Amino acid sequence: MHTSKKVIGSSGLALILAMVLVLSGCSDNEAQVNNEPKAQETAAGTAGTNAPAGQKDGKYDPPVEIVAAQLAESNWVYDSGDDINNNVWSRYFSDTLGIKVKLDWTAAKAEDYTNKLNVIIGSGDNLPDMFQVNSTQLQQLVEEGQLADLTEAFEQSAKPFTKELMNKDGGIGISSATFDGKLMALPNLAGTITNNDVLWLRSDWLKKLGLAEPASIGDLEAIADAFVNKDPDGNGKKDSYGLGIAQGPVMTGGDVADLGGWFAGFKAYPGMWVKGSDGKIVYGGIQPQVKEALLKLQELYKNGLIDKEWIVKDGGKLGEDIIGNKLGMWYGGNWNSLWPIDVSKNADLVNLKPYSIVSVDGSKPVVQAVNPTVNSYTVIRKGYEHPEAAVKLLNEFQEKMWGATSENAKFGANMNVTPVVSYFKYPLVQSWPTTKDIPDNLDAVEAALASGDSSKLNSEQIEAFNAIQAFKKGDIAKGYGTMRQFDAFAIIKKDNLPNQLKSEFYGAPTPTMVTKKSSLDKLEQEVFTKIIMNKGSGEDFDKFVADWNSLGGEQITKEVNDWKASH
Amino acid sequence: MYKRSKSRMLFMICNYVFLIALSIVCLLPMLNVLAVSFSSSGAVSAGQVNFWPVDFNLHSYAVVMKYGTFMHSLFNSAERLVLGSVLSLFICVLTAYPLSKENDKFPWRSIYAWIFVITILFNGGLIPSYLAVKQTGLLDTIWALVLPGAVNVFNVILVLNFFRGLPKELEESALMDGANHLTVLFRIYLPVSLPSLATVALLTMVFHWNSWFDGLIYMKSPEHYPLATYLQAVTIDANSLKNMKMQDPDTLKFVSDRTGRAAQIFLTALPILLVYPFLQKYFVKGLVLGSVKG
Repeated sequence: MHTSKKVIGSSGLALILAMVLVLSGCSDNEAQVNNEPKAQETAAGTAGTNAPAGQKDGKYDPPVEIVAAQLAESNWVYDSGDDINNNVWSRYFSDTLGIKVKLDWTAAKAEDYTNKLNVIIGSGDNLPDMFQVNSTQLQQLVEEGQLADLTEAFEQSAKPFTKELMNKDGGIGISSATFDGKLMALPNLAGTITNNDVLWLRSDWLKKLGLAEPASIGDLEAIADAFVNKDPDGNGKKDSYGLGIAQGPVMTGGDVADLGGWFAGFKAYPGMWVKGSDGKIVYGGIQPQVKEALLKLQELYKNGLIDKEWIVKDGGKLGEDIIGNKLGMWYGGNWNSLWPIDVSKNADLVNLKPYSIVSVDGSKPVVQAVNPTVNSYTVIRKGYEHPEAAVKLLNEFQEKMWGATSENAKFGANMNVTPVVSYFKYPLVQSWPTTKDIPDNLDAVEAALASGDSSKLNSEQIEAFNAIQAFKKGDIAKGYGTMRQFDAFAIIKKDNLPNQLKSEFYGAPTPTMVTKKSSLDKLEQEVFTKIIMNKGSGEDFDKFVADWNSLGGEQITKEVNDWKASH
Repeated sequence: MYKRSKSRMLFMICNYVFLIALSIVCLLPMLNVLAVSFSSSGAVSAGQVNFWPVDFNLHSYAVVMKYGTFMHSLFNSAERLVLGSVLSLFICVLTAYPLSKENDKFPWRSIYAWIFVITILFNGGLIPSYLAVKQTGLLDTIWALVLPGAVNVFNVILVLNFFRGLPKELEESALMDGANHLTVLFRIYLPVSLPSLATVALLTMVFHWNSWFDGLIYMKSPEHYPLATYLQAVTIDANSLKNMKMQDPDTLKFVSDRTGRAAQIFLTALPILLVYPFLQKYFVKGLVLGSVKG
């Protein structure tokens, strides 16, 4: 018995050893097998023609196929029968360019896309030929040498119109995608001027209480006081708030009930990198003006002018207060008129209008800062033989959206159906003119409204034009959102376009940012929240500044200045 | 056993009050979601809906039923649930039976048992798991969701302990009558082990119904997502609006469509809610039984 046990035992051990050997052998084989499809793919890509280039009138002949990965959000709408693989854009690309984008995988949410891509990058799995990355992933892939150099492709294949649009931001986007003089990605630009705040205010409440448009923080405080204590909605209850703040709080502008506009009134810029008095770049959130702004908010809070429950209310919750005639003043982005304001639920909201934000000393206009960071980049994996295809896709996207032959009804969005079909979301390679809303659309629509001639407008502008016309004819529910958004555009154009401040840092996160920034941001939120809610004092702010510096902020500041010196 | 003294009564009252309060706290969010799903979207965005529907209607459910991706995902989840639970249960029983034998019948039993237990303490981690799934060619198939978790060692130990608690005479008499081990397992052990099997089945079903991250990582397109993965993709929070392009009224409408999302959340929770009461009576019994006798 005893011996037989031993025999079985040792044979079991042998079995395990054998399995380990087999398994390790397997993984070697797999690795080899793994590399083969790539080689086959490349062969297939060029197979058929051995002729070089293989292009006719800018069209690939035979067509090329790009294996890609893309974010296709769950709420995207398609024409019936269409999907992300087969739609107006994909057919157009394949007909005019001979480029077929084959999606290896998609994700339904931005966060999911990032997670999934991180797993693929981390596992050393085959990258798709073309995909979108954020600035951290871009930096990582460039350092690992996994991306194709697009300098030549962009130089040779980008149309003049594309080059013009890609440089409209003053070259910030292109510069952020350039490493050692090589363009490694196509930045997906978007207008950043739209991230400035305006002050949303119930004009009917102002009128009723006999108050004028605010010219300074002092006026704003008086308005908040009247909104709380003088029953602006006339329901006989003291149930309205002064200044709305959403949970977070969000320190930068362009959100719902954020603090970006408030801080800017004190020349304070948390979340931004600004030039200090000595020319060095410093972090906006630790400057003395921030303390002043926070203590003023604390005063408002102590006087009951800020909702005591603000730390649990997000934009949607504030929307309920707005619709319920409880909130009539907050700092927010130009699009707040589309959401969370919902004029179809409360007709009085038509009197909610955007106003210029105010400063503590009454000086005008108030200078605001925006972050010019590019959110996503299109990249091509190293070794893919048609890197210029990405540039061609970008050419066509921009041409059909905003160029001389633009067809917005076909390629932009179909507004005549519910839900709206937004075709513009489908293409993987995108970049938007940074001046599209302000001033381009604003100027075009204003000119058309003045002359009554809408023939020169592109269809996105026509939509806005029609909505504003509808508003003026009394169709409030249809036109309110666009009408007030364009009012906000006009204010931003007047106040911010001539003197826009931009955060000085727009590169990929520096090494210390990667490890420390999220905890510093958390610290900032905690301390600021405490001070606003009267649980902390000015001394707590001073302590925060010291902590911020010692917990990695000083190192980050140094890295940011080093980065600036090389850009 | 206990005297009904005053202090005892006081303790009981406090206990009940506390437990009832706790269950109300657990129940209210569900009730709120249910009420929102049955209300009109106007009432919801005006903040009038708490625990009772306002302007009762079934519109959200009608929309969800017509919505293709939801039904796809529902089917994927059902497929996963059936395949996963059946396979898992089968493997679990097959593994637990030999491991429940004594050392003299199954030499080196504890070493084999330890090999299983080690996988509870250590696992490959995200990226090695992904590589394993990819290189076995399971990526983007339903098996990627079923096979990696098929052997749940915790459940194996549960069943194993239950088997050990059964009287040895059952097995011995059967073997005496000429039964082999398969007969013993399937004809004698299984019928008397229903409580523990029901427990394991429930745990497995809940696991399969709720897990979402593997769906996200292993599936290549949202049509292949199980319901939980799909659901987390549609419940976006308003913070993601910040990076949105301005010309995007449909995203804005989507965010305000709280009734639709509430309906989807409730439909997702429903199957497990329905299964629970039927299996629950076995649940506590199954968890405790093996350990007490073992």
